[in-house]
Amino acid sequence: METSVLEFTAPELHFGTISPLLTVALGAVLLPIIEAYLSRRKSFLSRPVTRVWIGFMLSFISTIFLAIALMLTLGKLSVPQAEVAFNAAHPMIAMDGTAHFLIATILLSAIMTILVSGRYLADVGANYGEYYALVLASVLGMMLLAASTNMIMLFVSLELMSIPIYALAGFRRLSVRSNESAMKYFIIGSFASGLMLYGMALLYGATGSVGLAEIGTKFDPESVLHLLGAGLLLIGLTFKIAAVPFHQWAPDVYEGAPTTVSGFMATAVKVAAFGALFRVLSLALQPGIESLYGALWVIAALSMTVGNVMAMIQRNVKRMLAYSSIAHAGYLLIGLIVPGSGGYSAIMFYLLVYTFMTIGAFTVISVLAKDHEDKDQIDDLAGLSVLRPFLAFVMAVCMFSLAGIPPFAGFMAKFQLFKAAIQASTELGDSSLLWLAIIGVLNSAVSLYYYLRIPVVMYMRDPEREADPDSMAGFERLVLFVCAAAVFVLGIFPHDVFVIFWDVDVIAVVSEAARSMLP
Amino acid sequence: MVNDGHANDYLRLIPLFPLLGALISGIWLMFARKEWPRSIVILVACSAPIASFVVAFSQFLELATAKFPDGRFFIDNVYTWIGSHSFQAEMSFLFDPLSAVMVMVVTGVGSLIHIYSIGYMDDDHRDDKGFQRFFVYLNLFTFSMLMLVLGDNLLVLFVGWEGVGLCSYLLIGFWYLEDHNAMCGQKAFVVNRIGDFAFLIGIFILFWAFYQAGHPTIDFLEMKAHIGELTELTVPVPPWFATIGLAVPTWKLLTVAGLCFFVGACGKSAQLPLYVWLPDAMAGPTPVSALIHAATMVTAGVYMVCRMSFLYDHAPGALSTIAWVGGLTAFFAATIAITQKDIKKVLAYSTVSQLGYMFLAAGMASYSAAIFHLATHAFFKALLFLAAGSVILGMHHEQDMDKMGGLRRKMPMTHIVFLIGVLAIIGAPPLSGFFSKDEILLGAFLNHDVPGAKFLWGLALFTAGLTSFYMLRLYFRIFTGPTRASADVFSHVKEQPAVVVGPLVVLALLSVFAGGVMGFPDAYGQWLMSMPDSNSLRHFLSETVSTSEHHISLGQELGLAGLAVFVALVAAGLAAVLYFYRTELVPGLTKKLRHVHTVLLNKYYVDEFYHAVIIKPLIRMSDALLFRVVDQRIIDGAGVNGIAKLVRGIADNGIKFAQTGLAQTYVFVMLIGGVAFLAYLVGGI
Repeated sequence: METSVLEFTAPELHFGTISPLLTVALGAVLLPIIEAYLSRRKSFLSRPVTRVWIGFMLSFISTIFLAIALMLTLGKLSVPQAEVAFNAAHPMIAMDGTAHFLIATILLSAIMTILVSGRYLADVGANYGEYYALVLASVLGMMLLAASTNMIMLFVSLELMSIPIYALAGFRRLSVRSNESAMKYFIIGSFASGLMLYGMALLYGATGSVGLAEIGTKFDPESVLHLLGAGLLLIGLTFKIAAVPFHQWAPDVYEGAPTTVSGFMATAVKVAAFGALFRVLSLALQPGIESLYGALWVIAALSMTVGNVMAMIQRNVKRMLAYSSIAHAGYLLIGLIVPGSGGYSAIMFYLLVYTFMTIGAFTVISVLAKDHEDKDQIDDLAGLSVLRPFLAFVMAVCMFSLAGIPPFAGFMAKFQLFKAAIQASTELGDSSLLWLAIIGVLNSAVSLYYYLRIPVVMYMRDPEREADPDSMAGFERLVLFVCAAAVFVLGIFPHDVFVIFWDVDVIAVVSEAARSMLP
Repeated sequence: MVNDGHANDYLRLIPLFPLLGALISGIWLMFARKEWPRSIVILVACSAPIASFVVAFSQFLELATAKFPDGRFFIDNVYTWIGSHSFQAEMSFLFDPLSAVMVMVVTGVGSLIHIYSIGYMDDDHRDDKGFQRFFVYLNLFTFSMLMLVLGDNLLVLFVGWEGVGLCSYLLIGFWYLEDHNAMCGQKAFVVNRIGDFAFLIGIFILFWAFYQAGHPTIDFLEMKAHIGELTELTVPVPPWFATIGLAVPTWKLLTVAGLCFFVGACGKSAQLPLYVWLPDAMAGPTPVSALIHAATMVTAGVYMVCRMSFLYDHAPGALSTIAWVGGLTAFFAATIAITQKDIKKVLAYSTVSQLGYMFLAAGMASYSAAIFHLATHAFFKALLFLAAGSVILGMHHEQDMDKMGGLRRKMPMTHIVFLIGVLAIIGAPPLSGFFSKDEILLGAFLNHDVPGAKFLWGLALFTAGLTSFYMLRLYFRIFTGPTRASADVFSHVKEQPAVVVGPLVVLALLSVFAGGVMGFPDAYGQWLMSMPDSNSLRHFLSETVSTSEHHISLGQELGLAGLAVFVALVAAGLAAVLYFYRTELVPGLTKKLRHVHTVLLNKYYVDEFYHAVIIKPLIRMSDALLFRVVDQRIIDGAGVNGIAKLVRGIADNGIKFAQTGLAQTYVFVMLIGGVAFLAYLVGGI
């Protein structure tokens, strides 16, 4: 029977499945309304309404929405069977274990970002209410991106994620650098989206389907058209994780954007983009993985090397962290080309750990901002151990962890990743993965040079200025504590996180989650 | 492995309390950089070991009374520390009779010393704000020591082993502003490293052997179960050994491993030839000397040998070595102690000597005697050190006994408890030292496996005489006769407050009664109370360590004990004559024996020997070759700095130019990169 193109099947909505998405969407829609309502009033519950107070209220409300979504997601983590939302025959998104784990990580990153934003925004004079709505909208895009199994959904969610981020990057409206950052990110991001859209068009043209799984059944690694489409699609996604050679925007954008946003970009965007890469590689491009392998190998090796080498000569902490995030993207790509679920689960664990240590580091920098100015030069950190011992301690923990020194979580994460690569290479008898792991280990050694410079400056140099009054907000203290504690706990007890409260074997969770996605 | 009935979740609390104490107090100190009020410091620091003691005591009662069909022990598996393919290291605690006794000693004596420290550190004459820091270290030490004795496998034990070493270093150099103290701490640390290195090698060898045998484990219970499969193994020798004409040795692997472990024990427990650090460790505060360098840490080596007794039972060669080293150390250190003038130094050499006794017992395979003496020694040596500390406080930090004398009336309580300690250590019946030393001598007398056991027995008996002599010398010189202190100092001497004297009284009571209560010999028990198993400690421990059943008649037992008491009495009489009744004889005697005296006073010149033969050449070679050539030229010059320069050069001169800051360039680079990527993909068909 001939089916008409116009035939429309009503989507089957499983509200239970998409409840975290709905919660965040509701928050993103409600927040501007609440802001408009609050800012028209002179007082609320017999309290004078000030901008700072509105900012506090909005961050509070958005945290509640995100926390509810996180709870709903965590509740589903234990049931890793795929739950397909919308149309079972042509799934748009798959809420499986992988999606839930990545969504939980994204939500964690967003919650921490929002908690530390309030005081920072007020401090740099950018305390506008739409910040929170933008973050929530972007989070919604990320959640969808991490779960999408369809090219249309992939593109829509990618843009839903990116456009608010462009705006957030330029959120300090009066700052030239912030505007420059947003403009650059927008232009280059649009270019990357264009390339990606072109790749999708080619793939659709070649295979006649937009569903990733269906493309997978028809993908022909011999055909130039197929490969071009796949390549362009991958370029778009590797742009989002800032892998070399699509990385050059990252240092400029991270440096100019408000510090809290930089932390958010470095973590949540990366998590979501890796979610999409998982889907694209495991569903659509699985038959062609052999031909993609070499190209991804080169990108991984280049990202690690260029990121680490360039980070060495930076004087600005945010730029340095940007290059470090490029290098980490390189490490993560190793896991992507390891066949089987081992690499994916290592990536997921790495992303979780990376979120904590990166948010921790960026938060320290954001706390240091003073008088409408970021204090983000490495020299600004001189003697921080004397001036602000807690900040210095958290920063040092994050740096040691990023460098991958045991017993911090960064070591455990790298260990899992390299272990997966080495295991696969011995199983397959293919030494190229082993070499990639060796390059990774050597790069970790290089990275010590710049990561450890920060503790050296903080602990071994005398302060160059007077101690600031300790203006840290309670939330910032909390987030910093959580980051440092998580870095310790995930490093020492990766198999039983929260021994004291309840048993969670994170390694088992991620490997279970990774297996749930693979067909 | 863990059967029902053996799991016990309370064990983790025992090390947890001191850890929390150290963490809470230490983190505060680290970040806030100002001390709490002293009352809070005391509350946090002292409640930790006491809480541990309470938990340990309750579990001890549980352990002693519960019925176990398959071995008396509790296990608390906290989490899997390292889970690798074939290798599992659990963070778990084992509470069997052996570790139970150790835990009771550590927490019990530890609590008393924590309390004593309140008084001792309060009087700190140095202008140092270290009150809270001191207790952080002390709590940390207690935690590490508990990890050591509770560890269920070699790795956990090793963590504790290193932890106590670190705390010992920190506490010896506690008053680090004086160079001498810092040097002493360093010496202790470096000498211990030598032992620790051998200990690690021992762990590796043993694990490798178990791996070869198909049981990759470092868990004590599992090792004990499978040790029988390793007895035939010899140390593998690389094939080129034979080809170059060297004789291929056939060393038994267990003996080699056992010797490695024992070298580790020599470092920690200050045995020949690695004992040199302990006398210098007296630079630390006196409570530290009492807790770490007399009662607990230095006995870790003895504990470890007993814990590994299942291995030593299959390594008679290693066991004989232990017995000989122990016996010789006991004698050697006792001779040095005779001439020392610093009261803490005398006690330090006495500790070395007593540790030698314990190793002698362990080497004679009477492990329970070693542990028995370990426990009683912990009581009376802690007592002696703390009483000495009280004297030192009273004398305003004077430690030279040439400037003391006549303190009996000034410090009556200190005098009595010190005398009790002296009587206990010289083995006066029925104080605790009498029973424990007797059991060691008995074990040596009856042993037939160790070559020269009878000679060692004689040496130990003679050493008992020496002990009696130098301890009474110490006692008479401090407390009796006319004072040699300046009138000003002497007039200010007074008894110490209750917080100092209280723990002394408790320890004194333990020194008097603990020996008889814990280890009343079976033969006497049968005779006096018709109780054939009155040596309760021995029977308790026999479920963990192998104890040779020696059947001995009452007459023999009494005869041996009488002999020991007689030797001690003769020596005591000699000391009384020389240092109490006819003190004028001493200078003449010293002059007559001046060659011997000088050698002993200078501790056989061992430190000088080490300095000339090992340290100096090492420093010369390190400076000339390793530092100037290898480190500066090769590693720093060509290696580290060279590579760093190269990489920075690449970044500075190469890649940096691509980072123009212009969006056009970025897009262009992206385009080039994208084209290359796609070309690679498509071209790679």
